[in-house]
Amino acid sequence: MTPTAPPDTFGFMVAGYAVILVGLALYGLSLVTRFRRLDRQEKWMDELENEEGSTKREQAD
Amino acid sequence: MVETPPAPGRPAAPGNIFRCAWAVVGKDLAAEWRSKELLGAMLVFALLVILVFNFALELDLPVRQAVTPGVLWVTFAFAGTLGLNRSWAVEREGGAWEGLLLAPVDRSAVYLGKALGSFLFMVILEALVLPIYSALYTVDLFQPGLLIVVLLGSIGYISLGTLLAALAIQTRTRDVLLPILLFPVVLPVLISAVNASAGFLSAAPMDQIWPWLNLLIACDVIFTSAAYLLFEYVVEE
Amino acid sequence: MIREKESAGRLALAGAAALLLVAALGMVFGYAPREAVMGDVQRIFYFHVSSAWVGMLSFVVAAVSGGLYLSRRERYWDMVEISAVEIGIVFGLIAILSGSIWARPVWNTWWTWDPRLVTTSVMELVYAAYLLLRQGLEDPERRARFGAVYSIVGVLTVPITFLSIRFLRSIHPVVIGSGVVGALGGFAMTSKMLETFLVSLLAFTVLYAALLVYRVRLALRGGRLEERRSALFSE
Repeated sequence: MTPTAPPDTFGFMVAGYAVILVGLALYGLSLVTRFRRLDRQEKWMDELENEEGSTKREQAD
Repeated sequence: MVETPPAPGRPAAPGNIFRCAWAVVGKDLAAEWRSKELLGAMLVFALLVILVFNFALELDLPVRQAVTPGVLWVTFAFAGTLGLNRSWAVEREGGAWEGLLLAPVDRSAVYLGKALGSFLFMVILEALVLPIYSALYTVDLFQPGLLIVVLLGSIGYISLGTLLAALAIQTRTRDVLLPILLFPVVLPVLISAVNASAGFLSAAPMDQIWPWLNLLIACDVIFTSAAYLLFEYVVEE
Repeated sequence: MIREKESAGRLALAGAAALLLVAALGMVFGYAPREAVMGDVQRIFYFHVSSAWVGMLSFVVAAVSGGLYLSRRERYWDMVEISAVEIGIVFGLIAILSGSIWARPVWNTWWTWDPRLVTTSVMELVYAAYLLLRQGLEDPERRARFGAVYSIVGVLTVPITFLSIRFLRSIHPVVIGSGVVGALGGFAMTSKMLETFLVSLLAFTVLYAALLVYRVRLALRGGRLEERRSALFSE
């Protein structure tokens, strides 16, 4: 019996892996974005707290 | 004999639990007997669902035989959510919610009472729907096997439903959330019930039906125990 | 000082995950043989199953965290739980989509009622319901408590759902497909395939650990920020 070549499903394989890797990448990116936003908010909070602290010191004097 | 009442939410003696549960059931039944709102709504809803199915599916005789178990259980599942929602909503609206929680009873007794009450309502609904469906579609539904499956399926459905309805009623979205929470997790009960029902309706040999019955009973045991244990976490205040 | 030490551990985990992922990809495309019946599309199997595995693992992690929260009432466990749910949804979705793409050329359909595919979808629905539940609650304590209860309910019912569907399929075999019970893409696994699969599984598990660790960290820092915010604005 002559062996038949497997069907050409290369395109689907690519599509599948594209979905998997892009999906993972998107989630990773969302994490990075959220961390960056957190950094910004923490910095802003630091500034706010410093202002509060210095206003309090001024009031105390 | 003087019994010192336990503090709210404290574990009580087993006899006490059943007595309290029964009191909750009695209260719900009495309230419903006076207003008959709930059962009326559930019945009309169930009939409407059957009607919709008649138009949605081509229900000629052979199809009818095949489709009856599914149609029945979908009907029960949907009408059941009405009953479950109402059962808890009544408490919140009447202000009885706080009363129920402050009462010196084990929280699990409240769960049992509510579940039992909802179960009774569901059984009454089924007792009304089955003969009507039977008549409309000339299918004999009054086989003992089928009736047992209906009861067992209702137990599993109500046990999870009571727990999740208590959750749902405390959210912003309330009623809307119950089907969303309940249906994905009650699937094993529905699948077993539908297949066991189908087995009895098609007069299949018992050894084909037993696996489904076993699964259904296992679900009932697991889900009721889990819901019973988890309930106290849902009504902490 | 402590923050930098923690970062190093996390970075190492992330690095390991990346390395393993690259290694797995290499094996998938370079080492594993091309399957005879389906062709290249079969290679999806390695990452598809690994993804599904992570999705389910996360489901369990969420429920265990839920249980821990209920018994200890530490917000940490609630954060682990929500992180596990979020990551689980992502991996579950990837598993379903990649499974669908695999099914298309093999059975000429985008969907099969394969027990594993259906169960994964049910799991995703439970995840979604979980999120809707949390969304409908304002009180963070209640959100944590109710979430924990529901995640436990989910972890109990979903495996039983899988068993019931699988039993159903064994009586009514899927007409489309290889005819092997519940086998999405039945094929004979050679040793090279097995090795590739195990490496993929490992890579995904380490990746999951890394993502979970970072996601929990995000939640922790977010929580601390919230505390600072309410402390500041309550004055």
